[in-house]
Amino acid sequence: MNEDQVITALKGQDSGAVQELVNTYGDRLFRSAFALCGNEADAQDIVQDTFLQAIRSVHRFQGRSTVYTWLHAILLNLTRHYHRDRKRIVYDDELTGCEVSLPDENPSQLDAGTASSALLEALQKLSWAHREVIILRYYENMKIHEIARHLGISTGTVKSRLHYAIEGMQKLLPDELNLFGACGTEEIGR
Amino acid sequence: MNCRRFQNRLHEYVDGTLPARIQAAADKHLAGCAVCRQAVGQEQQLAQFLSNRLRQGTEPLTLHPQIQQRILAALESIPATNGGSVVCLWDRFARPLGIAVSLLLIVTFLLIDFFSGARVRETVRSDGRDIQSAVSIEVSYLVPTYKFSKEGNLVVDTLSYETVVASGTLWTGGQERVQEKSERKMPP
Repeated sequence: MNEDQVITALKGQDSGAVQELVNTYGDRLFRSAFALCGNEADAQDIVQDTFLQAIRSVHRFQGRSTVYTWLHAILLNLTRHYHRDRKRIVYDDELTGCEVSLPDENPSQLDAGTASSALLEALQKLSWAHREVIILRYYENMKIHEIARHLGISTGTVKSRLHYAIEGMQKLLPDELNLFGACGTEEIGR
Repeated sequence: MNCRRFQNRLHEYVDGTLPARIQAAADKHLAGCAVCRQAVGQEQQLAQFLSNRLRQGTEPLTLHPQIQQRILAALESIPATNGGSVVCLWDRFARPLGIAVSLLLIVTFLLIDFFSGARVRETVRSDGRDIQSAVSIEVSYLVPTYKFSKEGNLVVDTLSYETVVASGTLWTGGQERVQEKSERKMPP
């Protein structure tokens, strides 16, 4: 079934189409939700709600974007509500001196898994606005104008948020995990 | 293009979404600027590093099979989207309808303002070169007057009101003609 056929079948509330939709996009959405909210159980609930809301509002889907982009927009909206409800907003400024903890091993020999965990942990300590641009840019690999359209903000705002988000991440990560150092590039003065 | 302008468009350059003319200017600048070349390489490596690490951190995660069952179970309770076409129509026409109603309101207010405002007369000067506008105004106000008179041992005070009506014409040219009429009105 291609995307159009899935959408048509969903409009008829075909259970086969729902299963195909969940099988195709479920894991991808779940990982993105986990990166956004940092909690597996909450991410599962958010993905479940995303699919249910998508089924309810499938008649509004006009095919202007891919099905995944449409589903991700619903997920982002639900995660934002989740974030607001849980009142877990933590401002970057409060975290300037709060580094992500790493296991007591030789920091120069951090494996990729530890680095990934530290990055995901640091991500959770960014403000919501900064976290979502990092996820959309570097996890969903969206272009700047796509992020702007997805979030309903200007491209200038996207770039500004990205700049401060990366700056915030660098403050949160230990020197061994410096984003530019880990990439093997030298930081240049901008 | 200078370094500052290039750095402002760095993300779009990496994305390959710059318009052809700006892309050519950016390429030309990049060919002669080592600092901006380094910035491009840095952004590309940062993107690759973050993408790889974040994906690696979430790769083992899979959606619990129970979620699909829950969604299918909930599917039965979701009402069929018979009203979908109505919602679609509303989505399509809500915006133009809103604009039309707004324009209608603006025109209505302008017409009301035009017909209920002060009467403006437009005149043509004798030389026929200019048009002047005149506004007729009329203002009335009461002026109280106390008069005291002595009648024998008594002091009698009399209060009277004088209504002053000022009317005139104001011209756009700054000329002003005001006539005053007054009428006396005795208190009851």
